[in-house]
Amino acid sequence: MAREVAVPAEWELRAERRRYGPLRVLLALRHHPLGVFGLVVIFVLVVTAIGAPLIAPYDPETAPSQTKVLQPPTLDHVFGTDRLGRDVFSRVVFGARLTLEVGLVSVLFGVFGATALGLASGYLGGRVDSIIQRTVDVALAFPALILLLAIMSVLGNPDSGPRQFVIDHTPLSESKNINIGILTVAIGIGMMAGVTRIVRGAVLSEKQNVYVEAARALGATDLRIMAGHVLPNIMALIIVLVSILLPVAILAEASLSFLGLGVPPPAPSWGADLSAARSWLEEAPWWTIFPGTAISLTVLGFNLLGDALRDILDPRLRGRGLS
Amino acid sequence: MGNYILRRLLLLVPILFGISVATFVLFRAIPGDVAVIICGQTGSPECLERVRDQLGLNRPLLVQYTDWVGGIFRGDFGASMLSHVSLASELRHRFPVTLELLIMTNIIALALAIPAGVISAMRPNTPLDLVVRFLSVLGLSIPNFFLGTLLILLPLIWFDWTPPLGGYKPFFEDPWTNLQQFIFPSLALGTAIAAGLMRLTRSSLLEVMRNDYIRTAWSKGLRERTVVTRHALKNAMIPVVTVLGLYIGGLMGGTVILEMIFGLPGLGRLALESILLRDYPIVQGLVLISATVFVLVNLAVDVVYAWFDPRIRYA
Amino acid sequence: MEPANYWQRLARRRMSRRRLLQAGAAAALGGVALAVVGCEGGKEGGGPAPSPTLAAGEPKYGGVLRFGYGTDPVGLDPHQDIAALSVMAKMYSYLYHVGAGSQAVMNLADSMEHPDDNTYLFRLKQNARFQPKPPVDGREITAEDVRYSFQRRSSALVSIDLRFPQIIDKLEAVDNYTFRLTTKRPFAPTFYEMANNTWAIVPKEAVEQFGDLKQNPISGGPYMLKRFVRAERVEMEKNPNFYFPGRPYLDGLEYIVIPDDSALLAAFQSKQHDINGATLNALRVRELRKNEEITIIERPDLYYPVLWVKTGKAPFNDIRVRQAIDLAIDRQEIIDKIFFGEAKINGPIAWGHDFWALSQEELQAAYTYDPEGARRLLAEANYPDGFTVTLKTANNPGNWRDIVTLVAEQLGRVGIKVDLQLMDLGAWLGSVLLVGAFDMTFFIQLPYEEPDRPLAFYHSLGISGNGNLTDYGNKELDALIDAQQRSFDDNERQKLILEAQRLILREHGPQFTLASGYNYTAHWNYVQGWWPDAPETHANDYNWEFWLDKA
Repeated sequence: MAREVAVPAEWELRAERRRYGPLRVLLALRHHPLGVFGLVVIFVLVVTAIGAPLIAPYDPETAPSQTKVLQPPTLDHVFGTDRLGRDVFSRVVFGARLTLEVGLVSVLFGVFGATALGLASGYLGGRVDSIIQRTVDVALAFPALILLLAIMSVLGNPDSGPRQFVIDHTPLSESKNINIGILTVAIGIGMMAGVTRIVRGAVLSEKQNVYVEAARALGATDLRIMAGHVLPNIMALIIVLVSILLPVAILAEASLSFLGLGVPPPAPSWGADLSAARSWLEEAPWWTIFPGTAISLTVLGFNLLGDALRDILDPRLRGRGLS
Repeated sequence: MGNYILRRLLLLVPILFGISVATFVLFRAIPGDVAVIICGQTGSPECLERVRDQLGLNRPLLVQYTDWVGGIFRGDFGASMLSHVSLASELRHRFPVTLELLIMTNIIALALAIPAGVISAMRPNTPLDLVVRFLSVLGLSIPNFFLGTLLILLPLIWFDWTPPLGGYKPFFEDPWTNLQQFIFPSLALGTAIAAGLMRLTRSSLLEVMRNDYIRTAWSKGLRERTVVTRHALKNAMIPVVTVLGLYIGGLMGGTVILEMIFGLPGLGRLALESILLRDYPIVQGLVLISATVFVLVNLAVDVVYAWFDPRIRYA
Repeated sequence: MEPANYWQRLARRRMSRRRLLQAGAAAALGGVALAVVGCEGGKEGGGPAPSPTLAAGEPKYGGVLRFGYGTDPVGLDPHQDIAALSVMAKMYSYLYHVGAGSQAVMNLADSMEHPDDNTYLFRLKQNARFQPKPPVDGREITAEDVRYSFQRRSSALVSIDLRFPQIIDKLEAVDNYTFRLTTKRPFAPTFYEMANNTWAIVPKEAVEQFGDLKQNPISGGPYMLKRFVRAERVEMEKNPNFYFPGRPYLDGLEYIVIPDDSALLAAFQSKQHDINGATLNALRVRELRKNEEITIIERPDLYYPVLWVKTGKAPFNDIRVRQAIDLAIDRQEIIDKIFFGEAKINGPIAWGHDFWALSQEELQAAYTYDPEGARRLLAEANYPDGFTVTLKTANNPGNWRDIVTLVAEQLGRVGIKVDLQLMDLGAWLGSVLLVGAFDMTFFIQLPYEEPDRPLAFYHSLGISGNGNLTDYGNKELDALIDAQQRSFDDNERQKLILEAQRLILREHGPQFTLASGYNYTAHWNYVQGWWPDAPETHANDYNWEFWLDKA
């Protein structure tokens, strides 16, 4: 999980300072058939997520009282029905939306937060750097799942003070489902420490470049240099990190569901459905197979695309144990 | 080098201090305490009050914290508020379980990753390479609780047999049962780690193969197998081994779920249960110990890395 | 009153049990949260109560029986830990059990008397000995040990559930073999309360030497502890001193702890366990029944799911809103979907109590499913578009989660939009249930075998005597509940209890009862004389009668 992005500070990870437009990346993918496969899977996923209400034949969260539970696949219910008689196909389709939402938002939240911290830490140095780095040390030394569990237990329980604070002071209060929002934030926080460290390393090596000196000589402010010069140059690294962390976030959601701290019912979460369905594997294998395949394919797709992107954008990241 | 190690060890002090404060605050911020667990579904206010008084949970947080830390300095990591068993004695039972799980996991991961990595590095970008890489990523893509369940239920459905579940037997007492108990959860964990290691082996091998001394070996007319196994692999293994060390450092993180499914009495389960039961002394102690192990393993990895690769110098 | 008859009438049906939580991490908590121990309800007239699988043929000696076990016991002190009462029941001595037949079964007691409403007199077996372990080394068990144990159970600092102890006036050892318990007021549930597994008899020396018995259980039961490793196993060996001659048959017992329910069942199916520890449901039982080597025992499940609303404030202070909930809940759908058709409707007292429960016909008439009517009532109560309510509950898996999801869906159909908030058991207990901080909550009630405790949830004093957590109060109902506690005549008591329930039905809340299914246990046929435990509450008389018919 988040642990896997932990690398020692000593491994300086530096982004290549070549710029790539999206088109060139796509063209470069030609030489990476597995990446193309990943891209196709993700494309299908995104289309499914966007078109979910059009694709899904039934409401994913409810079932008429007469529907039979754990019904094998039929023409009416192509993936069968689940424990409460809901259409598994519709849940898988809407699950794509939820999975992408949780995965993307948590990773963006985590990576943006970490980028800000990493930039400040690496560029400003001094006291800011040591405060941030010591905090990162502490966070990294926490066992990853335990940290996630603890964050979820604090934030995930209604009536907890910190949860109210987060809800009051973030755009979360706007979100349709606070519980999913909280889960997303928790996963994002969980991966922040490792990413901060990597970004800091990249910033440190960027800082030594002439253009930074030049900008400073021209009187640019720190903020301007960071946002206008350093950030664009580590963008490739950040994009690669997002693609690497997405599958990690999706699996984290599934693991939390297994431990009972995932997305609460009746929301159609693949992870929650899979962990509920596994107790019915013998009686209703279809209920397990479809959400299970959906998770695995999605994670596979992101991993393969991530690998390819890494090769294209940032050859130096290759083989640094960032899985 | 000596100086570097000393400096890193000194760094352990603020980290451990930070961890101790962080765990203390974090776990107490979770709603509910051990008193509600003890008093249960129909607990009365008196019961809660009584239990909190007896366990000292009513004292100011700072007093409780200094009490706990003071105990650690005296070598007393505290005891469970529920079972009254000391953390030290729990560790004696459980550490070997988690350690063995980690060792087996790593063995399996290496056994899968290295041949796969070598094969795909020898024939880069061929269909064989693609298939191997695809399979290795697939292993990473199945949630491990699901893979664990499949490893139990599929043999049951097909052969009316499952690996021995629960009832842990130490290796030296019953090696055969012990191996069966660990091989399946290790397989579920190992496949995920193998994907990363395989990728690392592949890229590291590809890089090494470009070196002059390999070219020399080729020009001497050595066979491909000899070149790879005798010369290239040895050097390519350096980053693989160091990354492996990091996984061991992660200790409790990944094993919780498989310990639960396979009924292994390891540290992960203890940590999870103690969080759910709000058994503060156990959770706090476990996190502190695991953090220490993590930091030390990280240090060891860095040192070993420098040892193997003379290009790296720590000032 | 004649004690023997009283016993016969009281001791009808045995406890049924199922683990509170079904799987996963939370299972570890299950037992710990079982702070209340229920008691057995009488069963007059009898339904299809299955008879014990009595031993076939001549019992064989020897062998070790392996149990699958899903709860992770943290300690084995019966006065403090209740996570594993069924495990402890194999090791500890009790005065008596409420037996499977229609008899009270004597254990350490030889006979008992109930000379007046408040006095209970027990004569103990002579020459009954503790287990041959230090510090007692098999010394004789006396009335003083019983007094000490009951005292400890009633007053220990971290002792569980003081509902019954508060009624106790005096505990006395009259002589070496006579023990007397006096209550403060006539209290009909006494016999059952005292028969539950927490009232174990323990030696004072052991408590003084070890501080508690969590790691060092010692008593006089059929088996004694050999090895206890948390999260791993509890091993027991035969107690050579056991005061029933020739018992137990087995050399030992082994409980193997696996927290995951799927794994637990797989281990049973692959014969790693002799007795299944996984939670079974009707669908799975249909499959298991196809295997002729497996015996399934089916008993009414006394765990019962309930929905609570806070009646002290809007919207649930309006009886029309509460009635709308009753009309919106489709109990038949719950039975069909959750229990695969094999369940019955629960009134305020679960159907498994039979003698004390309202008949199914009466309940069906009272609980009609009428979504139109529900909407109409909501409109009358000034909620024409319904309203949104937050339902907080524990994140336990299995039936707990499935039922609450289904009920939320049903309420949504009439416009009561339920926002489900799940939290872990500790947080839910600590910041929702025990402090009454909820608008709506859901949980699965413990298997109370006595009707008194289920009724207490409707009493204005609540179950702990500190007030009802839902703010509900009704003088008329309080009077009925108090009256049944004093009534030692079963028929009279039954009348009071049924009347109380009918009153509750008209009040619609604060606790909405739904439906319960059956409790299924499975064991391989070679286990003979086995009858499943009544673990969380009553030890059973068969816990030393079983043996293994294996080569």
